[in-house]
Amino acid sequence: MAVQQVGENSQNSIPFYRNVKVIGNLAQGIFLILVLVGLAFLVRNVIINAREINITLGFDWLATRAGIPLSESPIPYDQNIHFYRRAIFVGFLNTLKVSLIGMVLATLLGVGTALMRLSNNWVLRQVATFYIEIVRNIPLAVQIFFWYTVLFIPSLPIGGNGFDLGQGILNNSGIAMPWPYYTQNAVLWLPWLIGALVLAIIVFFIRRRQIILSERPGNPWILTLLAFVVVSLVGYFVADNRSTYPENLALNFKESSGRFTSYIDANQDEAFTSRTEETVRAIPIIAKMDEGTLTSIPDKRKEANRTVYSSFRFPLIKKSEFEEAEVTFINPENAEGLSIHYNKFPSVGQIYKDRNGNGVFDKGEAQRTQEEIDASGTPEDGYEGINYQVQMTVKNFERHLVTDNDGETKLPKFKGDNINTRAELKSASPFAWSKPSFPTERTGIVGGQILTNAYLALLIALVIYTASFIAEIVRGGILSVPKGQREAAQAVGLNGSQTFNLVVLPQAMRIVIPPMISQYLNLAKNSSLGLFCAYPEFFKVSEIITGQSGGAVPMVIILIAGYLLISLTFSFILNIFNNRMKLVER
Amino acid sequence: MAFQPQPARPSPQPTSGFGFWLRQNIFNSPLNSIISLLMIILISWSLFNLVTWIVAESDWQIVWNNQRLLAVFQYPSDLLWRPMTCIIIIMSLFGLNAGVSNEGIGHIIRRAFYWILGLIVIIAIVALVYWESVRLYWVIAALLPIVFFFIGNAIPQIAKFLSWGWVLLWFVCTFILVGFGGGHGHESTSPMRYVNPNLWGGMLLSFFLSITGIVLCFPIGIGLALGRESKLPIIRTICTGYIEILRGSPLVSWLFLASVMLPLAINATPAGIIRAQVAIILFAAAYMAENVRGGLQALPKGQGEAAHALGLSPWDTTSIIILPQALRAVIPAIVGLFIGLFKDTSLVLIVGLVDIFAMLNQIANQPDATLVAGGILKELFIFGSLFYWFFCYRMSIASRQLEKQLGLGTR
Repeated sequence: MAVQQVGENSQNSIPFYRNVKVIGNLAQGIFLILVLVGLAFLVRNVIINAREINITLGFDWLATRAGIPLSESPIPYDQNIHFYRRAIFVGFLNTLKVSLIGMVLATLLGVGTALMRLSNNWVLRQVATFYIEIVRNIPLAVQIFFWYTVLFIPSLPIGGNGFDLGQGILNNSGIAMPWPYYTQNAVLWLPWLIGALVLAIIVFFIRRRQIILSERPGNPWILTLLAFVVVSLVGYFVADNRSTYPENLALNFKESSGRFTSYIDANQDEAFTSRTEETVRAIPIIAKMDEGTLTSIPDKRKEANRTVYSSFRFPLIKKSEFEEAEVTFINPENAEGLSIHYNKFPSVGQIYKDRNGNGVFDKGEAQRTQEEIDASGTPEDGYEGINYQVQMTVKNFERHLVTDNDGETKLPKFKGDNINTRAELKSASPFAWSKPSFPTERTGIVGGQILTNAYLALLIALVIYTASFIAEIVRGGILSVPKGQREAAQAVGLNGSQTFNLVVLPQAMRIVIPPMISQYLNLAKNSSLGLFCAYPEFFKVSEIITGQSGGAVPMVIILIAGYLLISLTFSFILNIFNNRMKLVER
Repeated sequence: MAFQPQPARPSPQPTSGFGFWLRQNIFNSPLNSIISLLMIILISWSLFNLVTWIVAESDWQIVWNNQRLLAVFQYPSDLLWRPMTCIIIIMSLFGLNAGVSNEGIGHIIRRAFYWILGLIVIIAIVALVYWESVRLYWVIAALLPIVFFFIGNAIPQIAKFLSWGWVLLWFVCTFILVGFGGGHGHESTSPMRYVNPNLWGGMLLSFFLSITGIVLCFPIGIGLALGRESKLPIIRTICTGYIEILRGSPLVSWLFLASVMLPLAINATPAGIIRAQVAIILFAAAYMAENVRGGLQALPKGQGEAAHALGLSPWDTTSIIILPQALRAVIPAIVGLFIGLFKDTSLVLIVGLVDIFAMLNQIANQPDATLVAGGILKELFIFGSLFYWFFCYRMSIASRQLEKQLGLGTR
């Protein structure tokens, strides 16, 4: 009774300003009001000032012509047709493209480095340690500067003079590599692919159940993969067999530009009318030419760290593409005593004067001597200019091409009386294997797929930088598994790989995954440094647009919302994975 | 039957010495031997190329010619004594701090001090030979810290004032660097005249932005961390939202936001350095909050409850029981954050500031560099990398030692 009395009394006697609940709510209220008032003040200022200096706060400008060139885009983008919103989306996709591939590669390199650091080979351990300690203490921006500005730009040769990689080429615009283009017939393969996927999932669950019931170690993935590969391969051959071309498919060749167009010849007049007739993409053709010539005027050219004198360049033509080719002077009377040296037969080379008579090109022989310069009265220091013009004659030229998204592809612009350029269709299939080619002497790659230098520089820098952090995380995770676990696993008779896969790895994963998630998010955010190598990712595109459209404020809001979207989506997906790992580990 | 001694067993493999070490670490299996040999050949080849390049081809003239721009950008040349004074004050306090103790964390501080002092001694020697205008200051910067080191050694009681010294130091140095008085720097010749922040740059800017960032983000970060751990739902939501939004978007986007929106939002156009600094502080605060929160969560619950039971007010509980312990536990993480910030200052180039990285980019485009065939890029890159690498590496060593010292990572 008395206790209750006291309790009641004290409850009544607590003044409101000493009641924890009241104080708490009061503090929250004041805090909320302060935050809101502060925000309102800032927003109000932005609105007033924006109106004053006449910058837009709306989003209308998103639907106006972009007019900004973007050097690469995973989706069709034309600055004269598409709107700002498309340009922003392209930037967003470019960010995703570099981040997602970067995550996979960084994981591989990071785990590899971690294993190197844990290996029993002293040299490997030291190499891995050096790599980690150097790379993670240098800012990513500086590393991108290294890959792009220091390494790629000065050392990669221009256009067709690039390094020949057999099927592709590496030059100052990037790596051009062959690429399968899907055609209209790819639809025929699609049901098989879906079927294969469904079958693989069913096989996986059945096999896993079997393994669990049999109580023996085993891996369900092998059979799953096998089922998927077999069914999809069979499907591909069936689809390949049933592939056909659309009715009335025709090819048009325009001699003035060397352009082939694949189109539906609706009116069957065997002529292509660009306005009314529809083009068809991804048609594989074999283009042929009997005899044609190309011309080139020799000039000076700046290469990596030297000047190349008296250099001529033709559109890149490979040895396997012709029966006979020859480069000659158009005016032999001007070129007495001069010879031709090929850097890459027959497309790239230099004119030189064989002064020492050894029959090969030696250093300095492509430059004129001082006496020659004095005698001719022209100041050029090489055998350059219209007088030394050369021509390449090619016989029986043949090139495999695939028309691109516009239904077009190009050949070098051959001239001559019996060129007889023609093309025949290759047999239809779900995919057309397109090789890159250089129909002009500088850049302008046709076909294939190009990984630009900017993309490669950003990707390499991101992967190498992030992998050095991932390596330390993985190493820490593996080391954190107590030694007793390993010994116990060996005691129950597991072998080395079983010990690692079944005992060490699952326990290490639990520790490794959460910091890995934050490294993946860092990688995605760090891709915004693509602006240091002119890679048109989300931030770079936003920056250009801000300078141009006047919509700075809305653009910044879109930018931050976009990155938040990426971060939240990634962390959501990765956390699902993390939770699954936790459950498995128990 | 004659006595037949058993043949002696072969002598055991030595378990020490260089040969044993080689067998154990480099040639311990056929595969490892091959890998080791290949790697050794590869490394020797790269080292050989590197050394020949450094000896025969590299040309450091351009870095040397631009030394002042790289160090302080356009900070007035007659006022160079001001950044130099800051270096002297900072190093003196560092020396005092290092001299006080050689136990535990004190040992780590002392090791770091030796490193930095070594660097300054080297620079001082270079200054003695080449840099007439700042010769004296560099020599003082190399000698005075040693004096203070011994003072600290002699009077260890000074330790309790040191943390206040560091806090005060930031204000003093900022004041010395900025100066006072209105108007433009070029009109006045006063030694303490105001220096337009647009003239700051180079290494000075990199250091200033990162140090100011870490100092000023500290109180905000602690507040946010406490807010996120608080039981009051509105405060918790707001703090969590702030932290997650700031961390969800890269620093470049916040720098960009600050340079575009800040002038509109506060009705004034602050200098670029202030805009960048605001973005860096607000961004770092979110990361600082997460670090501090880690410390708060690692703290046993009983600490707070015991303080409560003793009758301490919530304020006292937080400020003298919880925070000191929590912050102590996250010192390595804060050093890590500082390394990150220091590296991130290389991004301020996008808002038009000229830190050392931006300066290197500018030099790469100078005629002196571009007229040389291939451009002088490798030297610039190596110089910039070494600058960042030295400080970041030194700090990461300290961070790892601290971690060991504080018994983290062994949980």
